[in-house]
Amino acid sequence: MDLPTGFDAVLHPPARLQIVAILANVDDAEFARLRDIVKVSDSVLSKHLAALSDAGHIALRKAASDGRQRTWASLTRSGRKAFFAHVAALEALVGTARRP
Amino acid sequence: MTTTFEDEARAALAAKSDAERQLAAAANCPPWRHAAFAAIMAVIVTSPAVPLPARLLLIVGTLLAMAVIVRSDRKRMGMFVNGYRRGKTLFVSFAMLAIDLSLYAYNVWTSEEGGSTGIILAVGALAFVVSAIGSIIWQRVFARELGA
Repeated sequence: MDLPTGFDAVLHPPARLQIVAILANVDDAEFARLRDIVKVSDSVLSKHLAALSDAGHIALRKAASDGRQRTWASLTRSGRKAFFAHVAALEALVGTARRP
Repeated sequence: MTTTFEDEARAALAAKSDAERQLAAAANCPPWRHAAFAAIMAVIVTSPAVPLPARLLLIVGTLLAMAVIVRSDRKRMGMFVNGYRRGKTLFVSFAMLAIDLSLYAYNVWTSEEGGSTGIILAVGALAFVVSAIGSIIWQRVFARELGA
């Protein structure tokens, strides 16, 4: 089966899609907030963030708060474009499945 | 049991919707946050009541207050939701901006025409009410858009 245009293998794991869906609606989000919503361990979230960052979908920055270094993530312009294209591809796949 | 691409796509979309619902719930603002935003807008709208140097100080003060609110949001929620984000909320933001700008322009005109300070303060109070209600509506539209 051919995958629809816009399908992005990097965004396919549900946890990564969740991370990017959150970042598409905020300026930036802190590591702990993402972990609480996505419900994964610190190490798993770190791996997902690294994969998304390596693909250029998100930008990561460190900022000190209350004496601790915290990681903040934000969606890049190309990441936003890839996210909406991927969601459209998923919806196309589901739409195809609904056809008799 | 085999999993098709369609099943995976459906599961991924469901996970996305679930994350968006949780985001909307986490981004819920307490009443003081709506009031703080409304107070800033009211101060801007009321600023023509004072002479120009003091007016500029008030505007700088409101910019600093906005920076404090952004910092507070980030600390409280672990994220910052921009009022001018893309989506259905943008209509609410621009409607609120248009009303507040109109009220500000009216106060500038009233001040230049030598109108009473009482009128300018009353228009400022109106800006507070409009901005507070607008902020609450914005929150509801945001939550609805994200399926909360």
